[in-house]
Amino acid sequence: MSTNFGTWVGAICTLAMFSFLVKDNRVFRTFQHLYVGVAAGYGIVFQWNSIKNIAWDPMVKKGETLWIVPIILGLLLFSRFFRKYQWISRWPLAFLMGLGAGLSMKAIESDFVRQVQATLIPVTTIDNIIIVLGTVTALAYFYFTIKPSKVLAGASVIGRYVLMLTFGAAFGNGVMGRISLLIGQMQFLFGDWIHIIGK
Amino acid sequence: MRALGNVDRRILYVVLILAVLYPLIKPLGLPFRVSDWTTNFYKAVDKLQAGDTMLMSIDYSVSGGPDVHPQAQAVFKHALNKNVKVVFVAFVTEGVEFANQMIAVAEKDGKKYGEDFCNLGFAPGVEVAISAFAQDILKVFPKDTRGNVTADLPIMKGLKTAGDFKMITEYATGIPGPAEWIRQVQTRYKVPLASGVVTVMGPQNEPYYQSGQLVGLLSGLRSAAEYEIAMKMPGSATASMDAQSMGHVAIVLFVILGNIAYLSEKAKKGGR
Amino acid sequence: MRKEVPLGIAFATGFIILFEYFLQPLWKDSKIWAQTLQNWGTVVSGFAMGLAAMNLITVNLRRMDPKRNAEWYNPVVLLLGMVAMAGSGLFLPGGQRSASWVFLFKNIFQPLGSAMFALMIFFIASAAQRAFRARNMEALVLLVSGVIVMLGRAPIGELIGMWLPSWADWLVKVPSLAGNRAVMMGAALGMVATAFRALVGIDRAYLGGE
Repeated sequence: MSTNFGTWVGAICTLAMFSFLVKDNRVFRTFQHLYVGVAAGYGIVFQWNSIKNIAWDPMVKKGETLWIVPIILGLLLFSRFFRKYQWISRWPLAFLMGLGAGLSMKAIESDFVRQVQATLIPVTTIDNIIIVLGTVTALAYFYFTIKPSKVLAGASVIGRYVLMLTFGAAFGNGVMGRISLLIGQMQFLFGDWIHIIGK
Repeated sequence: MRALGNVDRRILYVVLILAVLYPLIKPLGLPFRVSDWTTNFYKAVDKLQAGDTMLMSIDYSVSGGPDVHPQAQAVFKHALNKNVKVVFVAFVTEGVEFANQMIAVAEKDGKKYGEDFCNLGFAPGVEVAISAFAQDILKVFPKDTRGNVTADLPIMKGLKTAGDFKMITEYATGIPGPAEWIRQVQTRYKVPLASGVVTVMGPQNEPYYQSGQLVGLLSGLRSAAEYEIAMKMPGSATASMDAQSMGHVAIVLFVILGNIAYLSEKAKKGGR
Repeated sequence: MRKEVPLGIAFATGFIILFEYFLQPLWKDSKIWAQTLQNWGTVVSGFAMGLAAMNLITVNLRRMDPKRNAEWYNPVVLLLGMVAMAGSGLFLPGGQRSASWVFLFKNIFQPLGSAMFALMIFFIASAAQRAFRARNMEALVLLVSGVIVMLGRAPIGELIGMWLPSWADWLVKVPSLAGNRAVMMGAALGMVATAFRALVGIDRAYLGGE
């Protein structure tokens, strides 16, 4: 067994989480709260350092006074805690919204135009035919704006099966991913802590 | 038959744990091949020359760490073996510590911080931060995680925008992920971009791989194991593959058992 | 004015970001301003993270009352964890390289986070046995493709037969590619439509009530 104090602490934390599998209990809930607290504390440190390094230090030490604008905007977010002044927090929210909206419009090129280009492949093999037809019929499935004609309804049915194959593959991969997480925990508990699994 | 469909869940949990644990204790040695996703990722990194600089964006959280961290470790090792310099950034807070863990191992092997690699830290804002970083690295990361002025680090010489890197690899458990990097960086700067993601995100990003927007894709622990095999340096990811197999067999058995119970109940009700 | 000014801010910001390339002949600093706005965005986002922490503190301070909450010690644990982690990173010598920061991340944060998400496989196992039924043709297609991918993507698939990994690969690279591409394209159109609505002020949900 490990003699490292940190490993024991980690093992206790892991077992506390796994105790939920027996039933919901106080120990699990306490450690869950500990996780939330530590995660929040972790985030606070990065938030503070980011603001200090990106805006505060350049403003104070290098005279880049324009950084006062985002600092004020950021501080205005905290007006949400004062009911009378809550409306002020709309300004920084609107700023972030405008930024996000402007940047996300680039999806038209990367997620639409490039994908349409990639679908325009020679339909000379069965696989390519399935890719092209599958994409079109799956898109037809999501078309709810008009009453479907017979062709659209038929395409939509095929599209539904294409999507079932897609979700099946996603399910298979999802299970794979979760088992990897369990493997990580087993390696930690039975390798690093109890030393049953060799390195 | 009804009992088959309603097995006590704790029995299922024990079976699953044993199925995963046994091959970890007594490896089965099941061989596996390397997929083209991993092969192309490996080739893209292998094409880099000594002295080239690669960006590694560690964007995974502790929730997906065991699935994605082995990928980043394998690629980092590959880069160091080729004397490729690596700049770490993170747009998810936990990424900073995962990068530090990899750097600590490399420093023990004699590599130098600031020359062979550096960790610029975390920038908040997800896609906004990625876009801002891509246009001006030094504005978003004026200092690294050790308090050094970024512009003064030898490794950062000549690196002003994302386009100055020879290759970008990013590792994600969700957002930001390949989509954000493709939108804000790859589309604009045309730098070769390869992604490592959690297993569930693999098929979702196949369209980007097929269209050429991603030059390589690693999907979960399996891809990390494949990368280790490609490097001819099997490690912990490779050792986990037998457990992965038995875990899958257990889940498939559960599905089959449940459906046998369901179909026989259905047949019984239909017969009455 | 309480809604018009924020709507104007959102529009102006989004417009500069979107059209900086086209604005350059008319306004040569458009690229610099677009970059500046994005740099400002990282700072404002940093404050937003602090907002979440502040909210957590106020909610949990209220929950610490033993008269109202039988498990009053849980908020105490939460706040102590937050103080310990933030304190190690901000006030101890070495900051994020201090021994206590590394200890807290490696032995508390990482194990708790990983274990919490590893629990999901057990719920999937239970659901696989109880709920994943082939009730109709669509469910059967989903289940069969899921089983093929699960077995085909693990080394056991190659032991069963080389056809299994080939089928799994084909599923991911052909029909799943088509479905994912359709979802991606639909989501892209939806994202652009939502962004456009937010920029021109049709969608004002982010402003909240009066």
